[in-house]
Amino acid sequence: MSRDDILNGIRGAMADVFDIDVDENIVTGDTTADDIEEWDSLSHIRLIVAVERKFKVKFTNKEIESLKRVGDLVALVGAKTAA
Amino acid sequence: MISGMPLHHVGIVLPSEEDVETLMALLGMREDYRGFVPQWSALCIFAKADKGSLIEFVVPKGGPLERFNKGAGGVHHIALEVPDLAETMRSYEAQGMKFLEKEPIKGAGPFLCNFLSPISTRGTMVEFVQLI
Repeated sequence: MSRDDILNGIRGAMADVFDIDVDENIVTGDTTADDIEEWDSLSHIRLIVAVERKFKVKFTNKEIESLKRVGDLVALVGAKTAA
Repeated sequence: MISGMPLHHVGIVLPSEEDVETLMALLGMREDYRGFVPQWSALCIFAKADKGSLIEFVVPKGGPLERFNKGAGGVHHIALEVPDLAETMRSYEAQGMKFLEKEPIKGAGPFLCNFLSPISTRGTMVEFVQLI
């Protein structure tokens, strides 16, 4: 799976969880919770669970806590799906 | 090891005080006490049923709680009573878990409180309270 495939999948999960319009101009690898009003600590875990289901992976608490930007999540999904 | 913590209250987020009054009337509850928690920008109204069960109605006055359940509110957390909150935090932190606040904070009533990070519980909001 390519990085763009993963990023697009995460965009879809974000659109669903945050109930926002997501396009390439809004969500990039550098997007953080500071950029999206709907992204708080509780919606963060809902996003994580949605991504886990979408990509059939499982994250540890430590991995979840380490995520600072969308690009970190893309990289983590990439590493787990490649394994 | 932590075990056997009794339920102190259930927290429900509602958009306004008027919504709280309406729901309390509907459920036959009366207000027991209220307070404002600045750390969470929340007006907290504790209500009791005749048998004594506590419900906390949380009215957000800003911050992310205002967007909880897309602004409609709803059941938000359970709160468990512990004898020593600092010790409870140390015990969970020793297992790698985190709390929303680094130290216990003064709650809306006669208690200290803190929440486990929702990452540790996979999305369930769990509060611990220590009566003072």
